[in-house]
This record gives sequence, C-alpha cells and structure tokens, in this order.
Amino acid sequence: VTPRRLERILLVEDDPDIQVVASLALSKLGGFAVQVSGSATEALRAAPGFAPDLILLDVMMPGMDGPATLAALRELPATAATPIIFMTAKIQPHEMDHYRALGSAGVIAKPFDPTTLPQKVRDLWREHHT
Amino acid sequence: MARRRKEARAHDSELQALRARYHAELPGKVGAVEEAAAALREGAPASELGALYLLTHRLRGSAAIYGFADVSNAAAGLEVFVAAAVEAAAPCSGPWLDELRAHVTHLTDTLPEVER
Repeated sequence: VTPRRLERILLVEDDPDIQVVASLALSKLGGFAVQVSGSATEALRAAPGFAPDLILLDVMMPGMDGPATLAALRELPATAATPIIFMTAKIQPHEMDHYRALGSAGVIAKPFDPTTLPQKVRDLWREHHT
Repeated sequence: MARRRKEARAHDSELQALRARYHAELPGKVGAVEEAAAALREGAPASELGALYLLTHRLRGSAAIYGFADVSNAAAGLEVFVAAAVEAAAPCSGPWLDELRAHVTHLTDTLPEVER
C-alpha cells in the first residue's frame, strides 16, 4: 500500500525562535506546506481547517503540554488519526516509551539541526507507514 | 541542477540571516533571564519561578538550534537548577538565591564568547 503523500504539516511550538527556523526549514528546504500554532489552543482551532497530514508537537509548552494536546487532538474527528511526532529534549528510554504509549508516530530530539529536519520528518513518516 | 543549487544557496542564506538575528537578540534574551532572577532575589513570590523556568528552557533549546552551544549549556544548568526548585515547591532561601546568582553569572559570561 502506498502511504499517503506528506504535504501538509502543522507545527505546534510555543517558542517563536524555534517556530521561525523550523518553519523555514520545513517549507523552504522540505517543500512542505506548514502552518504554525503557538499553543495547544491555537492548534486545536487550526487543525480541522488546515487538515494536516502530520502534526509536529512540542512536548513542553505552557498551559496544555504536548501529551495533553495529543489527547485533545485525538478527540477531534479531523485529527483523530493524524500521525503526531513529538519534538522534545526529554529522550530518556522511559520517556520514549511513554511517548510511544501515548500513540505518537515518533520523536524528533531537540536540539535539532534545521538543515536535516525535513529529512528526519520524512524518515519518521516512512517508518510510521511501514 | 543549477536552479537547485541556487535555491539551496538562497535557503542557506535565509538560515544564516535568522542566525544573525538570533545572535543580535541574545543579549536581550539573557537579560530577561537576569531580570527574572533578580526579581526573585528582590522578593518576588516563589510562584515566579515558573516564569524563570520557561525563559531558561526556551533559551536552552533555541540557542542550541541556532548554534550557540555555550549559551545553551549554561542555560541548561540553570534550567535544571530552577526545575528542581519548582518541583520541590520550596521557598527561595538565601543560599539558593546565591546559587541562582552563580548560575546566572555563568550564563551571562557566555555572551562575550558569543560576540567573537
């Protein structure tokens, strides 16, 4: 089965400095259509209309954190089955197990190299679909 | 092929421009951490620890992504120190505030390195 093509990415990240560099890398280097949300609330509002193929979700955000946001996105029909990749500096084995148990499609470790970010996303997308 | 090379160069220069902008903003970001720490020393409630934690967490992550490893490492030390206090929900004692000052000084000391 040919996996769905990865074209649209919703980036949920509260830090404006990371938003801008990740968004640039994903759109200009990766060729993806990217929408940025600065919080869980923004993401929950934007996701149904944007209809992302994939959601990149920061784990540590003020207010609703990444895991809570994932749970809320799963409640929306539009994103109930959308693959979600966490972005986090917390990548100890037990933390990785926890992300998997929550149903994430993968984890991108922070700090990431902006120039290789699009390829990492593609690799995780491919792994998720095999 | 030539067009791809040209595009790659353009994207690289966009990334370099972002890095330069971040570099120019670094003193302000470190200054915000200093201010939040100073407020605690001047008697701000311990609940303000959360604001300091968020500032250091962001600085640690973004500085590393933009290639300022020394700043990120110093911010990481401060982040861990503040996180422990947030978790313990303990009041900011004198010795703790002294140690906080040392962490912040270490962070600000990384800025001259960045200027080079």
